[in-house]
Amino acid sequence: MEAENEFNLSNATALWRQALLAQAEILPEEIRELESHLRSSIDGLKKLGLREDEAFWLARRRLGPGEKIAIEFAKAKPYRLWQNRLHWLTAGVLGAYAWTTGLSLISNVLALHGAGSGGWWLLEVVVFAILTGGMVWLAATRARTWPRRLGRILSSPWRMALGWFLLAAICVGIAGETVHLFHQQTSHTDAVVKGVLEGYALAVWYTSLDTAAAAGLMVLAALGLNWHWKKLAAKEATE
Amino acid sequence: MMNKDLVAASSKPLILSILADGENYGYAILQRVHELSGEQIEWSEGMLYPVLHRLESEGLISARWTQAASGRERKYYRLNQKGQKTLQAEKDQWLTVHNTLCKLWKLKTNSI
Repeated sequence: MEAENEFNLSNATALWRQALLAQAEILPEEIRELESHLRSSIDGLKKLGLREDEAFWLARRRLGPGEKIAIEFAKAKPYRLWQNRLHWLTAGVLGAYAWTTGLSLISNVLALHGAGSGGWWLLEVVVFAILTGGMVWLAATRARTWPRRLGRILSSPWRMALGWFLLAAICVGIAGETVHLFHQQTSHTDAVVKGVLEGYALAVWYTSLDTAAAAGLMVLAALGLNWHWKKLAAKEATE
Repeated sequence: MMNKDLVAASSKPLILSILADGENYGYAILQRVHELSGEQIEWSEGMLYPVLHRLESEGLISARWTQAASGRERKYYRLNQKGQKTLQAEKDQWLTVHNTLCKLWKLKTNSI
């Protein structure tokens, strides 16, 4: 495409695509199809005598704003919106869980290296600060799209989202407690195990057991919900 | 301007009927609706795709990506067997409404 009056169609289209990508409900393949439509529309308008920039502007306007298209996609496949929300919630809960277990792993390992002897707590604080700083940095760089997503989660069926969030949190809690209980009951064998495994490996073992159990429960819950929504969508489709 | 609910309700039989003439892509389907309705039926362009995808997930139509000689990618939709049956049912329903109204308004009715 040729640039006309300093207008660059590729750049303008890329910006438009970027804006659509911010909409959680519109999948990349759907954006590909919308882009194909936009280009056909631009060609049609140019044949009518419009300049490239005018054609782009009108074609984009005719397709409508991303938010509106996203709402229609959400209406057409309501279960997908919930799938999406669950993915975010699961990611959030598991992320938070992995973060805290990661931190406890660090302190466990540090404790093995003579906690209480002083000095080590400083390293722990530094590691914690780096991890927290990293997360804040991630949040800041993603901030452009997050408020919109947050707004959508907080919209109408927020209570349901909260319900699933609690379910997820309970899953993680149960898994964690079960593993700890198991740990306590088998602690008398620890001395033997420690003989085989180094202290390091033991800490890693319990931490990963904990996380794996929680992840397993979450995946089971997600699969169950997915199945339920698909059934719901099939029912809606036949009505 | 046509009633929004009527536009939404008629989108399914319109799309299925256009695809009954052969496979087609979104932009061309829109053009066809504009042209046939004498530009009376104004679809918001972005709304067409969620409808197409819903019909696809209902198993009424199927889609495939193709690449034109110009390199332009297009997603073509075509009517399935289930879609043909649904179209027939839609036809019956819409003609029933149409004929009932024609009788009430003392206009000539149409038969299938």
